Amino acid sequence: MAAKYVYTTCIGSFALSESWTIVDSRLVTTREDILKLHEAIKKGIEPSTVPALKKKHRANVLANPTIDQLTKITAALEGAGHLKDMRKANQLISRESVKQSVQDDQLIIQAIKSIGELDKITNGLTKRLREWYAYYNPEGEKAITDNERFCRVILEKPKELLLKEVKMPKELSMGAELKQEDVEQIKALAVHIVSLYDLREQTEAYIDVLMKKVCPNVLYLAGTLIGAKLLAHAGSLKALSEFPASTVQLLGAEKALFRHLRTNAKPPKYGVLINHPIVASAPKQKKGRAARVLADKISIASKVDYFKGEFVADKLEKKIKTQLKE
Amino acid sequence: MQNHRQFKGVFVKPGKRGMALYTKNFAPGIQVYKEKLVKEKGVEYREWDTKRSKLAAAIVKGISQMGIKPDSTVLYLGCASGTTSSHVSDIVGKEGFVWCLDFAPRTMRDMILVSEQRSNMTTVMEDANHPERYANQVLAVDAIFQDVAQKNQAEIFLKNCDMFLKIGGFGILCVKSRSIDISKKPKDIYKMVREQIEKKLMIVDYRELDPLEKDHCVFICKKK
Repeated sequence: MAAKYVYTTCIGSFALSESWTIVDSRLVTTREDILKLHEAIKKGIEPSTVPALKKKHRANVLANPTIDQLTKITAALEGAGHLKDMRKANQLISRESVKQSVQDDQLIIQAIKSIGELDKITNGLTKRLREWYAYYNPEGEKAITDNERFCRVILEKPKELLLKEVKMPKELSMGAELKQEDVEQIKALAVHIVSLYDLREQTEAYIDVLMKKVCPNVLYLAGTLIGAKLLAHAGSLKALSEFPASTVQLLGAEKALFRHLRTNAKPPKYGVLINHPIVASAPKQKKGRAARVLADKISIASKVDYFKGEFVADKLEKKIKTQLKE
Repeated sequence: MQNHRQFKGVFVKPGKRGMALYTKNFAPGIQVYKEKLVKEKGVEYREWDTKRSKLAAAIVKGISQMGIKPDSTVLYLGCASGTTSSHVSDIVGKEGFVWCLDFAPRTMRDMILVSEQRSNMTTVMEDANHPERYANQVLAVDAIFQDVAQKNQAEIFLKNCDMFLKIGGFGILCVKSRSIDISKKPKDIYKMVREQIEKKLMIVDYRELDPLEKDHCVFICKKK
């Protein structure tokens, strides 16, 4: 029978007769060939499976079938048992697509989220450590207010030295004289909390390195933590770059924003940006303006970064400083 | 376990809170989303949660037709991790087929694993807004089910029905009014979507899914 059409699917090309029976085919079966064919179709290049069929049968390529035509093609392909081949090919293509979809900005987002969780966990564990250690050295525990410092110091300095530092004579201290094993147990907890603090620090350094590669302009203007948090709120660098500056200004203040939109509450002036030095150091009446100006320039920076432009953040920073001086 | 009075491949059984929906597990022994598995007379059924699946909600809300039955081929737009599409796979069975499409890599990762356990499912990681991009990866289907949270949901639905839905086939559109316009009233949005769809398809049924799904409705359409 003579072939009239050549129709290409993800498993290859078919030569079909006027009555829509399969006359011939050139199919791809290996993973490599399936992915190559998929690439060619995506790029709009004529797939390698087409020319031979076109020439041999003097048939024309059917590019955009009507639904009637597609229904007939479907019947022919399903009848010939090709549904399972298409299933296999789609599986390979989908797996490859998922693999290719992992970008560096997603690694930054996972890292900053892990820092958020590490903070919560170290806070909780340190509270416990304080309670526990206070049986042994309550005056020493009270004297160190910073959590991280507390964990590190009780491992470095013995009880006697800490009591001396707060000028408490050893006999007068309310702390129990615990056995060696009991003190070791308390310190074991402290050791692990300290390792979590170390991990947090190292993760921040990792984020910094990644951001230098992925979004140097945002990094320069927003800083490591705030820049990463903006990325996390947006979901990706692409999403961040597509937001208007007003959205960037309020990323992190979603609760307040929707409350304002739904009720008569006043609008938020800043979200994550509240902790940025430029906003934090501005006088109360000018904080909103500082956040707006900063968000404008961060928004521009994110667009430059997404489209892999040059480093312009220093010029942007200068503009911010000039604008805020007035 | 009894057959659903309307739909083949769907089953009902009295449960704690009235009648619960079930489908026959096409991949026995495997749970997709921690749903209850029930064995009766050697056949395993999966409970179909009407609060998690809009299609199940539409069924209990009393739609009269759906176009998805044993042996149907279905194009599922917006499959996410596979909660509802796995039940579609159960219904269409060995001779049917479900083409599952979603754009998000994270959910597609889960979906791929689900589809690999079922010989009547495959996955396509593409944007439903551009059907020409995946036209060569799918075939014409008996039914299209769409549940995508996009502003131009209606347009996406019509484009895909135009290209892939066989004449006489059914198109099921789940409308999430908040995705279209967060400030308008849901009923106004449903009216707007109805006017858009009526131009190209025949609407044979319609249900608002409250209280099972807030601010959602479903249109059952037929392609003439």
